[in-house]
Amino acid sequence: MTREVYAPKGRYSGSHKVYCTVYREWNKLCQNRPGPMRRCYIELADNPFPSLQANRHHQLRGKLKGFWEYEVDSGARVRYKRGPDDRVIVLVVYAGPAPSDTH
Amino acid sequence: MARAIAGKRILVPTSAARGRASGRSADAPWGPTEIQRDYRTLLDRAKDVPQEVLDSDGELLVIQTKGVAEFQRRLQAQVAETARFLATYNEHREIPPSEWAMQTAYPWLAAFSGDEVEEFASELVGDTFDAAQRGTLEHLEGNLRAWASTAGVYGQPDAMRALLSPVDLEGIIEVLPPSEGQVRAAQA
Repeated sequence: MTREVYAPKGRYSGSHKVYCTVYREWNKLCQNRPGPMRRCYIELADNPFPSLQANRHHQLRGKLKGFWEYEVDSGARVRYKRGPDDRVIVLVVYAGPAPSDTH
Repeated sequence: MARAIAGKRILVPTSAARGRASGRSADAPWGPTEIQRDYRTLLDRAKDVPQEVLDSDGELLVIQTKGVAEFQRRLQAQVAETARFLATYNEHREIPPSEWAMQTAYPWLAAFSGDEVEEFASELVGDTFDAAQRGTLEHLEGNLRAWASTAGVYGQPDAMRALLSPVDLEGIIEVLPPSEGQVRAAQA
């Protein structure tokens, strides 16, 4: 069942709502990294599918084409894809640690 | 620069458009004496276009912004990296990437199939060319990071399965960011 939750004080109104399948992991990152996660949310809400790749925000490649990744900081990643309909545009499917260093 | 005042266009010279005090043409190299007399014009022009300076010993120098010099240095390094990759790739393209990827600047290519590396090679060449034309490496570096991140996920079979498994839309929840208050509290 879909339910809406609220931030403790004032919510940011972006262009899109952000939905998530990994609610606990998202909240854990928000608790541990409030500043970077706020920036992440704003980017996902306002510019979820940028046309150019950037260091911090890019579309994954290979078998993961169609998934986007936002680098919250050096140790955390959020991955998401386009939702199935007009209601759910941004659907986060991973919020957690970065893979061992590949850069 | 033209400025419109009461319907009239009045030409106001900017520092870059201002003529050189020596009267030399804009393309002529600056000389040491001319720099001493008119260094302000030289520096202002160098912010727009690199300026050549002919030293008294005959050596030709260039004054340009640090941003331009830095971009050119990084682009040169990237072109060398791209060329090195292509040489290795062309030599080994029939062999699985895991056997030769370590010889390139992109060892994480070992995670990909031959077809995926072919796609990577095509993008790398296009992105390098594009970076030189557009004067920014941002997209190229972002795409390299995207490939590297993808390789990282390939290395985590559980994460890979989780990403590719179907989503139960009944279970999704709208999430919100930390509030500004939470951000401030964390910074305090």
